[in-house]
Amino acid sequence: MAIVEVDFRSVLPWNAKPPSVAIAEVVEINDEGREHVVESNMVLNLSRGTPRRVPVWTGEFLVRLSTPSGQLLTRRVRIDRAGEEALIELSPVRRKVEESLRTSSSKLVIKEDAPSELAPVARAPSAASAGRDAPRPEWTAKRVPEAGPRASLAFLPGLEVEKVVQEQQNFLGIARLQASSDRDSPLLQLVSKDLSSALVGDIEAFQASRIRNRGGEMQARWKKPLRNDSIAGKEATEGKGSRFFALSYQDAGSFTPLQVACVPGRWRTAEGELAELLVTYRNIGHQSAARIGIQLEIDDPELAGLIEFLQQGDLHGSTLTLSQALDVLYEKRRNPYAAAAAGYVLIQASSKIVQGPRWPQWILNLATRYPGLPDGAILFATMLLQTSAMPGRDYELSGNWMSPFASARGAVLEAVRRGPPLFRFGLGLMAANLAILEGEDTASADDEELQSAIRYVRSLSLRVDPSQPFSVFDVEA
Amino acid sequence: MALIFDARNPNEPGVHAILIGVGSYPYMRPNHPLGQFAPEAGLEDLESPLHSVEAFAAWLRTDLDIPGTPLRSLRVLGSSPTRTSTFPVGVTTFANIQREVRAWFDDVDTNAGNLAVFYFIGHGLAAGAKQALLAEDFGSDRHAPFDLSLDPDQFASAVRKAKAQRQLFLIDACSREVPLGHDYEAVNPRPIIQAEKHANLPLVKQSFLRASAFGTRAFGRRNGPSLFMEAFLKAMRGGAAVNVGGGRWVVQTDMLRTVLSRLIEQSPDGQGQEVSFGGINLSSILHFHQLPGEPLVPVEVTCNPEDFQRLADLHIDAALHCSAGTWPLNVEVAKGEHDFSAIEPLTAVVHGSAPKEYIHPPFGVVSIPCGETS
Repeated sequence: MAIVEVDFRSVLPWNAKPPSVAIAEVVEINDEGREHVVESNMVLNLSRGTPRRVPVWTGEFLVRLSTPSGQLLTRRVRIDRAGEEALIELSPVRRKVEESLRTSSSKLVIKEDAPSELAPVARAPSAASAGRDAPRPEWTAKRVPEAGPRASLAFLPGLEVEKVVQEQQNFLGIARLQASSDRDSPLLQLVSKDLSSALVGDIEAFQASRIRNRGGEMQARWKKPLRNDSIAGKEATEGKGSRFFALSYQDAGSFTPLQVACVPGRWRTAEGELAELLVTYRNIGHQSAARIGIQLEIDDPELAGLIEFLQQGDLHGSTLTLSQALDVLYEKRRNPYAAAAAGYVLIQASSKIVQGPRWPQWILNLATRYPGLPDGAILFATMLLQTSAMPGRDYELSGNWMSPFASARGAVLEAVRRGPPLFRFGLGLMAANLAILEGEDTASADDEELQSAIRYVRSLSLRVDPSQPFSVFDVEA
Repeated sequence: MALIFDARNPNEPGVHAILIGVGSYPYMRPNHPLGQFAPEAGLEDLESPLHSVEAFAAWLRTDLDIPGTPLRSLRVLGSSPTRTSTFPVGVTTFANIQREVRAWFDDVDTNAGNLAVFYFIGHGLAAGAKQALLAEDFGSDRHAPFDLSLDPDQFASAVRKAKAQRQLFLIDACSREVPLGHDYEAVNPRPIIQAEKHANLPLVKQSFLRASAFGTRAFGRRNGPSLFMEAFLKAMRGGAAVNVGGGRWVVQTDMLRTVLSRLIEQSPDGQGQEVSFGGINLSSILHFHQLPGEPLVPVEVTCNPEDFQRLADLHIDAALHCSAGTWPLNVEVAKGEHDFSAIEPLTAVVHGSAPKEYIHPPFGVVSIPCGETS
């Protein structure tokens, strides 16, 4: 029995986090040195640890594994069981639990990477749990009083910051924000308003999050956007009501907001469990110009791979991983956020495997039923402007001709009105759609509403962190 | 005149390529008037862009092989601070880039079977998720500096409306970050191709490769092509090829990303440069070039411990490949099994060998155990 270990750490770029998925291929090499693909396009879910088995006969084989960010690992395997069928088993080692998995002939163990280290500026003290001793009220969700000063990214009324940050953690903190999805401000005002309003709208409630030291990194994690359901609302309203954000800040004497990230509310996995959202302080940017920033991850083994391929701009990998999670795609009521991620692949994929027969209608429903999720509107606008989908033939507006989605212009501007998208990928599509509208209208230079929308999206693009799948904006002055 | 090869026939599919290499930046000296819009120290002139477009153009004319899709037009624009080109290249001012790119687009837009190739090498600046590729006259208009630059993501998105259903964009430029986040009015590169409504999003296969990820630098050489172009041309010999059956090996763009990153990373000058997909949309896999035969595969051969590379010659398949102390970063061998040995030149002592190593695309890694490790 041969055992081959593959360790992704050997090929990952500096500061890269280990992949959640890999695409595997098994190739047979015959006696003349010719290659024959035995199995290809196998999606290996590394975090779930589900093995994949490939039946083979005696011979020489290559096992190729490619990661979402383009690294490739190849291992040569010899199967020597004369006259008998054998199996090559690709057995990812699950996170946290490194275990040997059995194969009948060969084993490929895929080890998980250890988390990368933070630069000294942000290194957490050993074993310290931030704020463990802080009084409980500091960690509860707080509504912003209607009377009194307005909340903003730079001012969260009632938050006693000095009680939730620690010197050992460089006075860094993370707060969860809940904001109204009802952005009734005219589009014209979006740019002229302050940055806080433009990014998150009206903050209704917030909650300081404990930062803990996990494997050398400072991390906050939660399953519910705010712990208090009476404030966060029922789960059935996900994507319909409020929007949620994570705010990173530092307070070494004065409160300084650093970044604000668009985050999903409650994220249901395929098993019906609530997935954890992980917000981690990490070195971001390039090695020579690294700075501290927050990175977002969703602990959903089924969809983490899709999000990684989306971030890497890889259509083939995205489509393969999506085809393994089609139930998520068409059960959007369960998780509209995951549906939006899937939609970004769906709209570009030509594969009928992932495109259901009424996928344009499905995109329209995502846009109309979830006003708190700009991504649905972005997808629908993109569908109108960059695909051949037609009303009547591919989707029905159900007689609602006053809907903003009755026209491409209305859909594009509605997407902008809803604010920054959950997924950074949506920003580029917003800009492309606006450019199309601008190009089609000879008088677009005088179209104040359109020009405001263009400036707004451009301002978001200049602040967004391009290395992340979720929209994370710099807000530091 | 930038059109250096012209076999255009709008009724037949073909490759239409435009290569832009900007090496002169006369307005970007230290103390330039752009303030926060560019690095304070200015931007140095570059020699590698002209070398890169020349090398790529030569390869396209002589080696590119895409069955049923011959090269039909080739436009080259280039500038260098030290020399003129042997090709009749066009100048790299924004106005000329705009004119030539529009002519290229018109060719690309003639036939659904066309393959569009766009290559830019020069300086780039970035803020957030926006990159600006700088024309030669960038800096000459301090009131609207980004009018003289190109946003490659928006550009590729606009080109998607063209008939050509295969489109390859290669952006070989730094994306050095500049603090532009607060001045969104100013950072507004002028569109060269106007975006229009189209139905091509699921139809056109577009592959967009950046030589360096956002916020990072792409490197070049003084007297030769950039690391990206050097690796690209090497990868065309086989590293980026996949077996498509029938004994045919074809360069595929996802494999290209993998092998380019690997080859650049091996170079001492390329540390931190990471090839990535870019663009507003997801990148498709494109078949680009069919090899004339079996692939030549780059192989990183080292001794373990490495000290033996100074003592021993490298022999591949019993033939001397290179002398002691001159082992290259990688060697190229045909796909298949090979024997690698480290042999001392005067005494013929075999310090170590790695027999029957199966080498295949995209690259090989061979470590010859020597001395006590053998």
